[in-house]
Amino acid sequence: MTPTVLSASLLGAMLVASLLMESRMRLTSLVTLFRVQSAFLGFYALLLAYAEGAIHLAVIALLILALKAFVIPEFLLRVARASGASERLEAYVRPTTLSFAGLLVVGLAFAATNLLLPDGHYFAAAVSLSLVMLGFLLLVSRKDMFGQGIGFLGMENGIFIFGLALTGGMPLLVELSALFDLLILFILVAALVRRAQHEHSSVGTDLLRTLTD
Amino acid sequence: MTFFLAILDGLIVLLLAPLTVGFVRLAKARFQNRRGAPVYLPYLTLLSLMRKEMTVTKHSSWVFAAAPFFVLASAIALAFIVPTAAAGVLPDFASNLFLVGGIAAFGSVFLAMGGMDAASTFGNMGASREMTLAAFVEPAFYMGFSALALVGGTWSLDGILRHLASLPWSAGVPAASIALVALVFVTLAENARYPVDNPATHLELTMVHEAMLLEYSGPSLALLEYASAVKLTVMLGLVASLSLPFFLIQPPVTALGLVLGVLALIAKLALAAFVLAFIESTFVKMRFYRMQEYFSLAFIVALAGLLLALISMTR
Repeated sequence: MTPTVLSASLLGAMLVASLLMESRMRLTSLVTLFRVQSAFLGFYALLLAYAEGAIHLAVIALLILALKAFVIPEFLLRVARASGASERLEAYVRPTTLSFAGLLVVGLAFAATNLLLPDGHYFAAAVSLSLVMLGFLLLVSRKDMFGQGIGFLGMENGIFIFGLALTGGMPLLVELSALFDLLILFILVAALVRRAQHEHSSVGTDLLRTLTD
Repeated sequence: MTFFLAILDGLIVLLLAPLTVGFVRLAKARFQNRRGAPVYLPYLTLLSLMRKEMTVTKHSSWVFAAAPFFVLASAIALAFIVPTAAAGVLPDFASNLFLVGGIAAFGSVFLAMGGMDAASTFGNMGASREMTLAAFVEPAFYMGFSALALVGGTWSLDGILRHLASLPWSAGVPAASIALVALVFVTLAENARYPVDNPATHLELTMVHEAMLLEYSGPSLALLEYASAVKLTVMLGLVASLSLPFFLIQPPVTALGLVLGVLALIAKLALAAFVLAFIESTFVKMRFYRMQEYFSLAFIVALAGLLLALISMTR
């Protein structure tokens, strides 16, 4: 296993995880898939750190593993359980349609990257673009805050891949601030989930449009 | 010589089939904290079934009596034409994937007719469900294998395996990996395992595969059980050999290569059986009316495999 093959397999695994996420309609399995994807992202960063001998990448990789694979998913599940939110997620379309749309989006991303970047980091760029678009699809198609939040995090994972593969990682400070931004975002989402569950007995964002007194 | 190897490949699968089933059951038992029956128990079960009396209801026709033989014939044919331990030993037309799909469908049609012939309620229900699932599984089956055919450049399973074995692992298998994932979905469905069907159920209402066997007893039950064991072994061996194409028996054959090939097949089957037991112990069975979600996901994963194969061809 050469580093190139290993990194390509990790990228492929992240893509498959993202594609499977589209059709998951239960909170635990969605979060588990996101966890797996983030763990792969962490290993990918570790691999790049090893290949380029960059110590700051290793720090970022460990932070990704700690935050995205453990803290945020655990936090999310705990909030869901504590606030009594339903395990069932809701979407505007059926899961099958979603995964088909996801597949089309992946094809589009690969075709676009094929035109723009003829060689070099082609696969990493294509996977990163697919992850961003799949995350976006999840974000716009889900009715509840959990699906939307996970979709946003999936987009973030795609952007991380882009940064890692094409620029060899941003400066440490930038990456750190991006990660802590995410953490703050999730604390806010958790607060919002608790509040929405308390007010409407549901975490659907549709209900936020109605006025309550 | 290649003819001899092709025969040998089928015979090994036929011999190992009950062992594979025994190993899956043992691994499942261990996952559930039970001690489990010994691995060789399925051989003894089949032998004792062969010696038992066969009860045939007088309301059944010849189809009921003949169905086990057709089903077993289809399974044995699959064992011989699907490459598991050996690659490059069959002529291309013999392991054409449409032929393989057709022979598998032939077996399941006769199984369904046997289930319907005794006119028991559960047999009819199982047959109806089996045919519904068979219609669902086919798109994913053919699309997954077509992706592999694109990677291997041939419609023959033997040729695909030969192609994957001729390249280093990292050059061949990653391009086929998503199609292989789709084939895992198909394998679970074709062999009536979780999450499609529960192979150990005792509740008739939840049965699919087992419901069609309810009226069978004695030797004909033994034939049907053996046929489903052979089918499971063939599919597991195929998927395992495609994803780990090492130590295959290939034409300029040596004694050492032969022994290594057989041992490697046993190791791959054990690995595949362990993975199967793992899947069965961690997944829950899906409701029958949600089956179309499972199969459309399988189909979409297979389409993604086709996409990946196309992309890796153009690069």
